[in-house]
Amino acid sequence: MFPQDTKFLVVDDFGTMRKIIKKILNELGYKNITEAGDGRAAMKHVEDAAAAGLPFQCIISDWNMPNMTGIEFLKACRSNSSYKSLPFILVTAESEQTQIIEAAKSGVSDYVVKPFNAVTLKEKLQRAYNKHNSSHQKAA
Amino acid sequence: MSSAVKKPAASLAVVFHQDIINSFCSGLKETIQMMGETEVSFQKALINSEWKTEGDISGIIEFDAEQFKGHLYIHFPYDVLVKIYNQMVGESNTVFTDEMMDCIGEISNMAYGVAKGKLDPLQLKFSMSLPKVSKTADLNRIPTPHLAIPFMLHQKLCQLEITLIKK
Repeated sequence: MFPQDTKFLVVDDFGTMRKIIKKILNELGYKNITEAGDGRAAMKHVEDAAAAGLPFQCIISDWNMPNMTGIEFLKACRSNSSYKSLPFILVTAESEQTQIIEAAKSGVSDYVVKPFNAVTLKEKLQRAYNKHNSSHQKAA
Repeated sequence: MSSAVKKPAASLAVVFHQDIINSFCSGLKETIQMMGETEVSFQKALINSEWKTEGDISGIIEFDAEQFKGHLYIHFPYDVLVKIYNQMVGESNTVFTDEMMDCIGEISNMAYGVAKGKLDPLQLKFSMSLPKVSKTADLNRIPTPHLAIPFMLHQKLCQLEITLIKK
């Protein structure tokens, strides 16, 4: 599982959903959490954090947002060599197969369908961590 | 298909489609039970020819599908919404604040998303829609017969309303 000092970026245009995710992360012991209201603001956070030498270690982002959607944000991260292996979980109210396939093709680490609870998010975090950890081990 | 379609007396092709109504109810129930950890208890549905909505704050989804279009409204009293919000975000607020406005938008969005997921396999393809939030008193009145389904939440009466028009 992600270590307790993992630096998270939570992205959602709804403040309530950001608070819900933050609450669950806090319950899991994570305190280093930054919030953003859309993909564009989130991308700026990602770039600034990397430039400061303190990059984010996991992103949890909503799909449907103004300015830059979650899938656009994911694609932007995956197209940059600095962030292409950053664990990235998409959250959405959609469970359509076509959307899940698009997310998978774009390199999403895992996918959470709303509504969800702490147990579900914890499972997805574990899976995302395992996925990236095992791929790093293979690459090493 | 197991749907029951019934046309009330109206100039518009208003319908009451069992699968759609059940999916909206299930969507709301699952959302509130999962996110608010609170039981939802539905009461007998009513067909309203006039607007008699109870509530303080409403979430509105305007939806469109191949065969239907319409609106989903979810109305809550202030104090119920404060309790759900507290449960969802882990706070202890005692009064309704503007910050809680988007909570009902999220609930509406999730409820509709769950319903949409249940309707897709029935070949009832609904498009995604962004929720709106309004004070219930400020809502535009719907001039067609619509279905009102009262439900109890935290021992208070709330309401789900559905307008469904066949294209």
